[in-house]
This record gives sequence, C-alpha cells and structure tokens, in this order.
Amino acid sequence: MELKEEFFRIYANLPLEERNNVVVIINQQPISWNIAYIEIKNSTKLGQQILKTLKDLDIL
Amino acid sequence: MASVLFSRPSDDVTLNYLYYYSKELVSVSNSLGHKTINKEKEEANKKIILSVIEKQKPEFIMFNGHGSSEVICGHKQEVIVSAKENPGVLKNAIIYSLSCSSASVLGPVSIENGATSFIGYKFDFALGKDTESEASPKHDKIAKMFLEPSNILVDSLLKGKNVKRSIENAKKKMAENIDYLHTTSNFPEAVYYAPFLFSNYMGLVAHGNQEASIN
Amino acid sequence: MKEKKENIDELKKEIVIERLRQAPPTVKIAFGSLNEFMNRDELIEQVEKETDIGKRIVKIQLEYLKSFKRGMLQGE
Repeated sequence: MELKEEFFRIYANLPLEERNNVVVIINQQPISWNIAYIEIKNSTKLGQQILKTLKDLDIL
Repeated sequence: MASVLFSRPSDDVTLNYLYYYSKELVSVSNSLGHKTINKEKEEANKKIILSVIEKQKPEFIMFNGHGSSEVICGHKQEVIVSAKENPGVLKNAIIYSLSCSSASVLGPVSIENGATSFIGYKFDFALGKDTESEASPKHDKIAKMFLEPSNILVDSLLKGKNVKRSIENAKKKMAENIDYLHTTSNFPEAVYYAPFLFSNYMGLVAHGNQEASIN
Repeated sequence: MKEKKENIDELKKEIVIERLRQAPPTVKIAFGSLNEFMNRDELIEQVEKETDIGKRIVKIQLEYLKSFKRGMLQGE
C-alpha cells in the first residue's frame, strides 16, 4: 500500500481526541494528525516530508 | 476451596491506591469460602510473607508492591521474592504480581523453579490519578480505569476461571477503558492517560500453565 | 547509519515532549520505581533528562502511536 493510502487508513481509524495530538515534528514544528492529514491530502512538500518521517518512525 | 494469600503494603501514595482497590478482593475471597490470609501494611514484610507461604502453602498469591524485573517488594520496599535468591518459594502456586515489570525476569524464573503460573507485567505498571481525589483513592475515577481490570483478573481467578480466561477478562476491561478514555468528554485530560493504560494492556502476561485455576 | 538512528531517537524524544506538553498540568501518573505520582511537567523532565523512566515513557508513547497502524488493541 502506498504511504499516502496507509496514512489515510490509519487516520480514519483514529480516536477523534487523538487526532488533535502531535504525531511528528518537521523543521522543529510540531504537527498534529489533523495538520498532517491536510498537508498529505493536498500533496504538499511538507506532506511528503511528513509521510517519509512517519515511515522512518515506523508509525506508518 | 483454596488457600489464598494477599500481600498488601500501603506505605506510600501509590501503594495506598493498590491497597484500597485490593480490599474488595479480600472480601470476595472470604465470601467465596477460600482460606484467606491477608497480610497488609507493615505485616506485608519478607519474614511474615515467607513464613505464611512455607506453612500455609497458598495456591494463589497476590502481591501488591513495588518491584523490578527481578524482584517483588513489600512494606518499605523490602525485597520479598527475588529471581536470584529465592524464586523457589513460589513453587506450586499461581502468582499475580501487581508490581513493575516482575513478569519479565522473575516470572519465567519462578516457573523454572516450580511455580504453577506467574501473571504479571513485563513493563512497568502505570497508574493514573485524579488530582481531585487525593484523599480518597476509592473515588478516583482515573485510577479506577487502571485498577479495575486488575481486580477483574483476580476476581476471575478467585471464582475458578483459569489463568488464560482471567487475563482475557482483564484485557477486555482494559480495552473498554481505553475506548472510554478516547471518547469521554467527562474530563479533558482523559485521552492523555490512554497510552499508559495501553502499556499495561500490552505488558500483562502469564508464564507457566495457562489452564491452571484455583480449586 | 548510526547518525540516522541518533537523529530518529532525538526526534522520538521531541515528539513525546510535545505530546506531553499538550496535556493539562493536572495529569498525574505513577510509573516505574518512583513512589510518587508525576505531573505533566515531571514526566517531561524525565524525558528531557533521558532517565530510565524517561526512556520508558518515550517507548510507551511510540508503541501507542504505532498501534494505530495495526488497529488499536489488535495483536501483540
């Protein structure tokens, strides 16, 4: 499965309260699941960085 | 009916929570007609506990207490059972150790030395607390999330369920409580306790005979 | 390779600190060999100082995040 699809699958199953919590830090910026979703959905450069980092962390 | 031993120190805030929650289990054990030996507070020490084990040979022992991967402690953190010194004292008993990570080393070593089953946590046991219930552990709605499953485990054993089933019952309750922490709006900090309860869920294990039960 | 691992470990620590920072200061956990309950700031301090307890807190939080990959509470 592509990383993007994997992220969306995981995000869909997250408890709603957890979605507001930080899941990764990129360029010293804390990123919540919700922000990650928007960036990844919009195929931004930040979204790509988020996917790669989540993979490196084995969260994806 | 079985012979059951409870070791329940209460000399610090954390142990006091375990002490309060396990009080109900002593009552349950008595009401079921088990020969119930309750050693609490300063009596939960090495000399008394080991003497009871030697003389009464309890079939089930519940230890509340601090500990580590290799030891279970009692009153004032005195080591009662150690993987290196006396694991054989647990021979022929089903053990439930509500103390940090004792299932990781002491658990398997006790089985090698004749214990029937050793139920415990392979990681540090985490306990959450409601700051508004400082003086009243029994009314602490957050601590309940963490300790209620532990009580269900022991309650199941006391009522004759085997080790495997008792753990399943406890984990089922933990899962329900994690779901509750994820969804409740009753207290805003609930979701932050979920990872710690999840750690307890992942850490709860049993070594030895999973089909064993208290007669 | 070693440098990458160190960077990942440092990142994990920072993520956990930020996650803990989001919690109300009233959150209290008793954990490990310490006898007392730790509040949010004390938990963060343990992580920042990379104590044994701090490292275990990081492990707990990361395992929790990873658990969403396989569906919460499914499989061990």
